[in-house]
Amino acid sequence: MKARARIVARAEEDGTTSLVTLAGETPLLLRRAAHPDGLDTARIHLVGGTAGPIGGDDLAYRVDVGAGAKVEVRSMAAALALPGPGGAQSTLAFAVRIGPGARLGWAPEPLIAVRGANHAVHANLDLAEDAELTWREDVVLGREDEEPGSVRSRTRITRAGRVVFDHEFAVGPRYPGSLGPAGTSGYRRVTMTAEFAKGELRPTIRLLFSGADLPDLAHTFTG
Amino acid sequence: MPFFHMTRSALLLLADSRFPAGAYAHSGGLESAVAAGRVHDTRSLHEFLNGRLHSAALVAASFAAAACHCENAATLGEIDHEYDVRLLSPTLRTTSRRLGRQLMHTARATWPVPRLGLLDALADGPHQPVALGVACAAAGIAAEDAALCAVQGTLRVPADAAIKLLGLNPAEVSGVLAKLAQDADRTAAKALTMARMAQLKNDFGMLPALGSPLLDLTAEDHATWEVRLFAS
Amino acid sequence: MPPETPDTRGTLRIGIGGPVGSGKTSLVAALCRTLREELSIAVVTNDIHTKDDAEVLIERGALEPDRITPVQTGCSPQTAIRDDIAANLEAVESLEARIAPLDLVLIESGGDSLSTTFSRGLIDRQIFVIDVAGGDRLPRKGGPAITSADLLVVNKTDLAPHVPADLEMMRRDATAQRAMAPGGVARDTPLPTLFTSLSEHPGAPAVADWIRELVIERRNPASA
Repeated sequence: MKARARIVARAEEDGTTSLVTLAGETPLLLRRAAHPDGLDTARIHLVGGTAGPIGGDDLAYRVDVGAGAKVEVRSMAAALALPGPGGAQSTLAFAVRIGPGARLGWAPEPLIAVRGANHAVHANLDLAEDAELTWREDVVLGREDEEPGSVRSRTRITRAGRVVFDHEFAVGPRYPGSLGPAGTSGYRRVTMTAEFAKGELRPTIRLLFSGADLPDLAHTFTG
Repeated sequence: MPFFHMTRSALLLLADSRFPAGAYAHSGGLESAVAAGRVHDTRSLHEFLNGRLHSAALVAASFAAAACHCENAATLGEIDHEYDVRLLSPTLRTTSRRLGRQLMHTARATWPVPRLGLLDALADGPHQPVALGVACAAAGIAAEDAALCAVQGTLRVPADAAIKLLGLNPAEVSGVLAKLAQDADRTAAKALTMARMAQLKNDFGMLPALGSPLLDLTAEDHATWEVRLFAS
Repeated sequence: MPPETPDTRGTLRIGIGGPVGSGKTSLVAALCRTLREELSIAVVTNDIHTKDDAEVLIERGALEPDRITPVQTGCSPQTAIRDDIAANLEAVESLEARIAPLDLVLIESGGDSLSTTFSRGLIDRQIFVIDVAGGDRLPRKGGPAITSADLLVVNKTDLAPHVPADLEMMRRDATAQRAMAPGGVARDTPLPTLFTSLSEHPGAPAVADWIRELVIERRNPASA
């Protein structure tokens, strides 16, 4: 199935952030939530439920955080990437713009790639010079005792039109060697958070490998 | 001498792991993998190299091919920047530039032609794949072979390190590389296609960005070891 | 090796090779301490312990930390000074660019066999250090390091009675080995050999003198 979602946030004169547009087609359902981050920040929950994406789905978010606006996005439960007919690939695309003095924090619950899943994510984010971003990706390779599915995810971030970060990882049976010693090496969960503070041209990257009874392996890369 | 004619011999010269550009002192992440027990025999080495082939080798090869094709200093700077933003590990960024500088140093003595001057503006040195591409152009090596050279280098570095660190039978390691040869060719061909597309559209953001985050992580740790046989 | 024609580079680069344990690091520390008032010195080390050699030099007050660069050799110390000098060359050139003026760079190898020599692309002169505890037949064995190093240093002479080692025999053998140039032509004078005990004379005065002469020669090529 094909589904689109759109978020447009605008800073109001009183400093609060209003959601001019908050619209999503199933399974990309969105709901405005209360303000745990304070009144200036709009909190959005992704409420599509656990099912999906399913192989063959064509999903896309467009997110526009206007000047001075502040948006935090969370989800309520882990999502399952499921296999579709004939092993078709599901795609999830993000087109994100964060304006001057604005901030976006996107930190959903993990995506679990179940056996046979074939999912691809492509995120393009354009930040104004003094915009802030926290962008989290959290992938679990299969449910317990299950062979992992396959996920690839590319995140490309530009600041004032110039690329400042471009990273892709591809994990799962479809990607040769990706589960081996040069890949995830037995770990079942990869969590990567990219943080751009105002004006910074290099992100702080928090990386965590966990799961499968192995000791956690974590590092924070600072530019 | 203004340029070197295209020869296959030049490719063999540059692709030889004995080409004196300092790569032998690096392990491509293998020293960490061995210390962690992730690579311990020929079979696990094969898995390691296979993983690198489909990530780092593809990326290096596409950048080498793009750089080989490029005759403009400003565009080469852009290509170099695109590669720079693809590396998570600051240590690996530094290492890549050091290897690039060393390669340029040797290339200038080996093929003293004006083409190499296109990278002069990069004060800290070009990233290794970019240096490789331009060195290939200087040597009269075509972009498709620059890609092949980059793939070969990505595989050879950890393979050679494995021989030294694990005492693996060198002939068995050759056997692993032989098994990977077809995929290596395919990776180089894919890289060339991606480089050509990027050049056609003048959009080097199209070049691949596949990384190995675990190796970025272990590279940072490796740099802090007190007893360290390899530079990276 | 015959002296090179003088070039425009101001820094004298000297390689120090020799088997592990022969006293290379002690010699480097000695030279730094003895010469540091007269000369601006930097050191490149190829030890596998990234901090060890540097710490020895710093601890013994021989040199400031920013004048010491460690270079990893990937289990191939001989390659690093001979077949593929790129990493060492980069380290040397970085030091020369950063510390101006620099009179002397010492490049200490990671540990060599008798067949190891430094590349002429990396150094101007080389010192090969062996020690008495390695056996008194070592000079007789020959090999490119013994026969053609610009200076052969036989260290730990204080151990001779304990090994036991016949120092006179070593001197004769070394002189004989170093009296012939490649091709079997006799040299006018054999290449120099110095016997030292760095534990008894921690300043390595004779080796320091040898270096001083080279520095003078370099500064005044016409008078050489």
